[in-house]
Order: sequence, then C-alpha cells, then structure tokens
Amino acid sequence: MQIYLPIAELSINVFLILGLGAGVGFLSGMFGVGGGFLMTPLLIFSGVPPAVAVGTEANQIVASSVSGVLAHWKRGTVDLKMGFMLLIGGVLGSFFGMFVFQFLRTLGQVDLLISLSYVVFLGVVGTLMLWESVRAILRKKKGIEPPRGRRHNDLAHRLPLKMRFRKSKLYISVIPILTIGFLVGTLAAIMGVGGGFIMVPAMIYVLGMATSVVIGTSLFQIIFVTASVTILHATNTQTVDIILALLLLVGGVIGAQFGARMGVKLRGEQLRALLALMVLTVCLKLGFDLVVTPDSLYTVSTLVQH
Amino acid sequence: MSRLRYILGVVAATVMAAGITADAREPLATDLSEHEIAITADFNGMDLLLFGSTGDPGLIGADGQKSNIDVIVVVHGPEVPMKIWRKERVAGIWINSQPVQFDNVPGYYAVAANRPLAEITTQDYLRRKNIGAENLVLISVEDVPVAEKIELRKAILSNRRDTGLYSLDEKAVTFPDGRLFRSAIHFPANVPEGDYRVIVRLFIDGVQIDRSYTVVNVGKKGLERQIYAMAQNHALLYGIGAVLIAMFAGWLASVAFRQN
Repeated sequence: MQIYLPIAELSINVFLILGLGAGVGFLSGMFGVGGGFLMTPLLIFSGVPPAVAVGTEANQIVASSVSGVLAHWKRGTVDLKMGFMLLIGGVLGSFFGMFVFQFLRTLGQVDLLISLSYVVFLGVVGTLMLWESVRAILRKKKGIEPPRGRRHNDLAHRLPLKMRFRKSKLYISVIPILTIGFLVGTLAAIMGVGGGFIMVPAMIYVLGMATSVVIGTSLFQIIFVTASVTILHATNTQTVDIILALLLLVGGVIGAQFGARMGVKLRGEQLRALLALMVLTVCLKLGFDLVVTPDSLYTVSTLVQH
Repeated sequence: MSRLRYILGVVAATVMAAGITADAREPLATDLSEHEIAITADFNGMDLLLFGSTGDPGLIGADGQKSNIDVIVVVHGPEVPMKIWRKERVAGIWINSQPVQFDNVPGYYAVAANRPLAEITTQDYLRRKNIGAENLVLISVEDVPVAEKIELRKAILSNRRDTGLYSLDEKAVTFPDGRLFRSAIHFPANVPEGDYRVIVRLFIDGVQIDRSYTVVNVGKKGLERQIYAMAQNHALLYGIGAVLIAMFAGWLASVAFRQN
C-alpha cells in the first residue's frame, strides 16, 4: 500500500515506513536510546530527501521522548533543574544549528554536512562505546570488579557560576552544562537526532551526574530541543512531513514496547557492544557513500519555488 | 468514467470528421481521458489516455503510394529552476563544486509516437520544433563554456530520465482503426504540480500538417493540499501543530501501554 507524502513529495510504501518505525523503535526501547541517529540515515537510504528526513525525525523524537519521560517522571528520575539548564543551551544550539544548516543549504552542501556529521559522531561514539563495553565484558570474565565511585571531573568543579543540583548529587559550574546542551542542540538541528547518544555519556563522564537520573533528564531536555528543531525546520526549510512523522511514530511506539521488554533480559555490556556495532555499521555505510565514486558525477536539484 | 469519456470522445471525433466535406482537409481532433490529475494520499502515479482522429484515413499521394501517417505527442510539464553541481573529489570525499542554475527545465517531459522519431521526420525539423528532450533549449543563468554546458545538459537529461520524469516511447501511439489513434501517457508519483501542455502533431510523409493543443493540470488535492498549503503559508502554526500532535501521540502511547 503506497501513500503520498505531502512534504517529501513522494509516494512510499506504508509498511516500509511502519516497519522502519517499529524496527528502530524496538532497538531504541531495548537500548534506551532515541533512535534518531539510526532513523534519519535509514530514511535517507529509503529515498526521503535528507532535509525532510532531518526535520521529520526531529518531530518524531518529540513523541518518543514524551512517552519515555513520563515513566521516568513517575519514578522521580528527572532532575528538572539540570534539565532546564541543559535545554537553555539546547534551544540556543538548535538556533545555531539551523543557521549553519540554512547557510550550507544555499551553498548546496547540506547533504554533505548531514553525512559528514553522521560519519564523525557515529564513528567517535561507536568506537568509544565498543571499546568501553568490550573492556567491561573482559573485566567481568576475569572477575575483576569495575572501579567504583564517582568519576570526578575537575573542569566542571573548577569553573565559576556554580549551582547545586540535588537530584544529580552535584554542585558544579553551569558552563559545561550549557555547553553540552548547546552542542547537542546544534547536532539536533543538523542531524535530526535527539542527541542522547552524545548527551548521556557526557552527563556521566563530563558532568559526573548520578546515573539514576541521567536517562530521564536527558529525555526531558530532548523533548524541548527537538520541539525547537521541529518548529525551526517548519519555518525555515518547510521540511517537516507530519504524515511521515505520524507513520514513523505509530511503528516506533509499538516497537519500543517490545524492545524495552527484550532489553531487560539482556546484559548491559553486551547490549552496549551490540549498539556500538550498529552505530559503526551506519557510520561505515555513510562514509562509504561519501568516498566511493558515484554513478553520476552530477547532483541535480529542483529549486523549490515560493 | 474515463472509459465513458473515451467512447464519447471517439464518437464526437467521428461525427465531427464525418460532417466535413471530402475535399476540405479534416482537422486533427484529440482529447484526453482526464484534464486534471489530483495528487491525493493514495496517489502513486497515473496513466492518462490520449485519443484522437487524424482526420483523413490513409491519403493517396501523387505517385499512387499510400502515405505515411504519423503522430508525435509531446507532454511538456511546468518549467522549474534547477541547480546542477559537478562533484569533485576533495580529500577523498566527493563534494559538490560551484553550481550552475538553469531556469527553464521542464519538470516533466514525455514524448510518444507510433514509430521512431527519426523515421517520422528529419532531425533538422525535430530540432527546429524542439521535439524530444535532446532538442530542448536549456538556458543557464551563469555563463559557462559550450563544452561544459553540453556536459551539464546531458547530466540534467539523464538525471530526469532516472527519476522517471522524462520519457520517450516510440511505440506508445497506436492506430486501432485507420483514422483513430490512442496513446497512454504515464505520470509518475513524483510529478511536479502545475499546468502540462499536451501537443499532438500529425505528420503526413514527414511533413507536419496539423497540431492540437490541450492542457492538463496536476495539483495536490484534499488533505495533501491542506497540509502542504499549511506548511508553506502558515509555517509557524504548522510547526507548533506538529509538535503538539507529537506530544499528544507520545502521551497517548504511554497511557495505552501502561497496563502491560
């Protein structure tokens, strides 16, 4: 069954989109990640114009992070104060990211920007995750206890403008918090991701937050950053396809429920190693497409008339 | 519906043709099964049927030989500005170089005939009348050397063919009866919106003796139209609406799956 997407301006198989939503939703439920970093490239691989993939995926992440944060809210694992600080940086970052996106769009380089951002960030994050999880698996095999205690990051403590975050069990400067938020907001606007895959490690390793509130707080701020990105893309590039977003989120919501149950059964380190491998696969595919000699040496694009 | 119109059209064309005296040249008469293509949610491309009457059945030439009667149908979509970039390898990565803009590239261009164009008439005539994608006049905004422009033209045409928007079918036009002809015209799912000019040319022994002209409008309709118009004209409202819908859907999902 085909459906015509009014903004993407193409006819696409409904079940392909529902399947993509369910598949990525399953993985995101299993691993506790948003899945935008998988969905946006997959949409591009299925023929959706990159700009539409980015704008629409941001819209879908609003939905998935709302449904994710509600569970954390009930458990009390959202640090609101930390979330607000992060989202101030995040919303500012989304404006900056949108500016860069538009600028490169006029130069005809926005597809390259999207691909390159993916290759760089997926490559770095995937490698780090794989390295860390393999080490954890090896340590467990040898029966060595992982190093306990909180990693204290000196930088976050030495900088001025300190604030107390009771739920995160922190008394640190707001500068690294705003910076992380800003970076994630920028990436959200350019890549159509929530940015959890950058923010969660940054919250743990850079800020040293209590791990129990990391996911809930990250989801909380992602809602607002992706909402900002959705509105910015809707007003600047008109690339938010609400029909596509709705189809994706129907599949995504159902997939996430099954994924979450599956995730409980699997071990943490193995799960992370698996996710790292997937991240690296997408990274390699995108990187390969950039390097391999294309079928046509020309890029042709229709200019949208307003 | 389209079937009925087809029959009515043929009847009308036949009656029209019969009403004209034998020695006056009967005009070419054509019509389409639809004059409007609505892009709705289930739109996945569409075929229109073009039908017509050549007027006279097989003419007898001066030498007593039966004349060749040929029909060339050209469907010319709305012109859209296009940008084209040549990719260059920079540090191992293929990136777009300086773009060249063309302002008058048809967003859709289809040619249908009953036999190869080269057999119907001369290359010179095809070129003069801009029949066939190769003979379209494309004007670049920037000044580019002729050799490069030829390459760019080729790239645009092959890109348009790959996307299914340019086509050439030299067997599409058929003559089920001596003077009646028909041809299917395919519009793929990615057709741009706008007015499409349908020009039917009648050739007798390689000389164009008549032509007809019709317009087909392609446009989004219903929900597709409303969503698109909203996104274009009320972008901020559309963005806020999209966010609210997503938030509601997320909340709904968490409620729906709470018990499980």
